[in-house]
Amino acid sequence: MDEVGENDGGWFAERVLKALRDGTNIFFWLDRWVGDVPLCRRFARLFDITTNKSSTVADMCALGWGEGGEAWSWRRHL
Amino acid sequence: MLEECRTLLANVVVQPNVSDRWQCDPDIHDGYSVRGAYHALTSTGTHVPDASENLVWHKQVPLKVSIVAWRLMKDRLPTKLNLQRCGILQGADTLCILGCDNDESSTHLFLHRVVFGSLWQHIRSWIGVYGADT
Repeated sequence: MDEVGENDGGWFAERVLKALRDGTNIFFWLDRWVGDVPLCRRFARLFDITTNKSSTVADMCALGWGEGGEAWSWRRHL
Repeated sequence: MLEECRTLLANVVVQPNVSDRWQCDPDIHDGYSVRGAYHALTSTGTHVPDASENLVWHKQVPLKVSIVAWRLMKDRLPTKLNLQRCGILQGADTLCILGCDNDESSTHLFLHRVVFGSLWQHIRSWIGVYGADT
């Protein structure tokens, strides 16, 4: 296998991202939708301990991602 | 770290009842286009072809032959081993189609396999090149 690594999606995945509207079709942690990399990579340590690994952006927003928001649910204390 | 994440989300605006969209560089507004993908692939980095590529992509070589040779060099031919690696062939059957006990890889088919490997001798004598094993 040259050029295309197993874990990054290669040239295609690097250029495709989700544009946020209602957030029901975007995985909060796994999709690339804010910033250059998916949040699961940018904040790998948070992703490790979150219990909301497959939540959508809409889910997380509804729970509240501000300070003290319920979107932040961890397996253990931060 | 959580603070940084929250800061990133501070300006995010969710628009209810409008579907999320795919977006693609460099055509951020138009979505994916072949033209955009071609541009992205050809504008990044400089590709220096080596001598073997000039032989493969030669005007006098039929296109289908060039493509097979190119896929062989990149090891992208659909051998059983490659099909299994892509998850197309399920299970453990990667053995050579001709019933020998080797994995069906490109090198096996084209170089080591006696049936096809012996073709090289004919080809070499045909173009007048003699190798150490002839």
